[in-house]
Amino acid sequence: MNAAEQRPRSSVGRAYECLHRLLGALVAVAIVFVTAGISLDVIARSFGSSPVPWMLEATEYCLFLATFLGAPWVLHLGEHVRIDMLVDKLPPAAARGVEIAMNVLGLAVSAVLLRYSAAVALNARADGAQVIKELIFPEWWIFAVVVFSSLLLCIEFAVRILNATRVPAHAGPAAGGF
Amino acid sequence: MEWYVALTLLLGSLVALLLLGLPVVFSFFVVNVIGAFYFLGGEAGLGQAIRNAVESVTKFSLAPIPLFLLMGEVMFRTGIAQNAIDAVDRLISRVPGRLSLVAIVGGTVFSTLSGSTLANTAILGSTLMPEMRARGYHPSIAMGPILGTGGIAMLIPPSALAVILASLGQISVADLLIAGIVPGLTMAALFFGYVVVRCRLNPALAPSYNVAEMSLRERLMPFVVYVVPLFGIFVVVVGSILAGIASPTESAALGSLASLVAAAAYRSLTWANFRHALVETAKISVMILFIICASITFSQILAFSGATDGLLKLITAFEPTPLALVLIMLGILLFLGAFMDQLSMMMITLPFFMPLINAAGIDTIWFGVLMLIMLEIGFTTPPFGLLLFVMKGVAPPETTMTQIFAAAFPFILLMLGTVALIIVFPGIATWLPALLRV
Repeated sequence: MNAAEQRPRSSVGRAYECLHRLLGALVAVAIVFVTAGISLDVIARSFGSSPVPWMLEATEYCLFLATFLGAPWVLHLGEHVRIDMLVDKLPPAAARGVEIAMNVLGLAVSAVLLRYSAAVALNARADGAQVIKELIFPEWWIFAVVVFSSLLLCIEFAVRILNATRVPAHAGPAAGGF
Repeated sequence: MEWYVALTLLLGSLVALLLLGLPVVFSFFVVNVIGAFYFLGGEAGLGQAIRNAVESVTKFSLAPIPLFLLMGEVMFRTGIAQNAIDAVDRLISRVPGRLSLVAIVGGTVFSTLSGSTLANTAILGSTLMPEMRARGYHPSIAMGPILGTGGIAMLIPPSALAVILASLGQISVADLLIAGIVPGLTMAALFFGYVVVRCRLNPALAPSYNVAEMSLRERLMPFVVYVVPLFGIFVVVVGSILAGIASPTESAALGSLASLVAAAAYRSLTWANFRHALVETAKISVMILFIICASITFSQILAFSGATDGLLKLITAFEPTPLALVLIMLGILLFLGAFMDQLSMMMITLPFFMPLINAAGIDTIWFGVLMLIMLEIGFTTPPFGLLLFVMKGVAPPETTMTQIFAAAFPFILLMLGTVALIIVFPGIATWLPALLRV
């Protein structure tokens, strides 16, 4: 059982777990929506009904939302694909050092994404930029999702660093979770 | 900065981060952030990188990735795949290497229903390995066919990897999916022939045993009940594309819906297994899509640094023939496959490969099929072949990685044999899509 599956002790920890479960559920709902929406659209079209004009765009936004809302959840579960064979061969103390260093790097790059996605969102809001297709909405809404995702990635990497510095060296790499 | 310095720094730092265990997607993001700052105009470049990341996944053409994965997961978690393999098991009577042949035929059947190589290997491994072991099968003839059928799953639609390759390489998704059918069946035939010949030459590899006596009806009925209706799902996916009723994305949605309807019809769809299938699909889909987020910026950085152009000029200066060019690329993929996952391989090579392929006038569909097979081989080559680890997870505990690789080796050679066949007879890959396009 990894740390993400352990029952968190603090209320903040429990809220954090709930947030990640919610993110996972939103990704699942997006997949169900895409499956059902496109299928019904094709079936309706084959019976002579006109296609739902916004279905294509809605599918695209579902993919976008699933990706950015799901990324912190998948990181929390420790399921982003990685090559760990070399790190696994290191002595435990060295492996933990590399693990912490990589999490610091992950935190740094997520912080850069946060900083610049916030800048892009604020610029889009200041310019009053709109996405004008079938669905019309302010462009900054899209980048706000990236800001939220980057923020959660930062928090998760920070949690991983904290956990890695707390656990004994022989306990192996630490997963996310409070 | 000279192009070769830029190329070495970009690829070198990426490989170093990958080997140090940073998740693949964050390794690409680190290189992208530094590269965007240096080569794409500082802060403006970073802003552009954010816009690129959003743009790269907000694409209708990528929807088949979660949908094809969902098909495989539904088949796997509801037990439909298990029933289909059991039905194939009854159909094949006393022949040399019977269970290995069941793995190949069952794996090929499952390939028409699942877009996931990993699901294919996991279901066949967990279903057939215990019985193979009990029957005294040699590890080489027990595990090899199961590892090999992953290649078939990657070629025969639905194939999530084919959609990713087509999308990143700007190849027609529909054509690449259709083009994989004949090579996939060719590969299955080669595997089948190899097992029969090898077990006939050395019967000790797969000791024969008495299969329970059954009437023809008892043998055929499970196939009719549990396999034949499932071909309806394949017909829905491929037929709807061919009939022009649906785009590849729409066919993937119909296929997912059909797999759920099939599971419900067999009364094996429960809330628990549906939820399980959905969560597993969500995890893998997010992981893949998030890596794709880095694709446009990575390609742009390679282009703006002069690395793409410099390397292309260097290669074209040697004036290689189209065949030599393709062989070099396949060789690079074989080498990278030993160290990297399929997505990283595609992200690193496609910005160089596709301009070369287009400039040399090589058929992109044909090349796409060859590349898919090489990517699959990378799944089975040590030290980082993911399928080797999946097999280790379902094999008996005393099985070593060396045994698993030794089992996979002949099937890797057969996959390379399929590549050679497609190079010599390009029609194996191009005939069907050309026929259906007319």
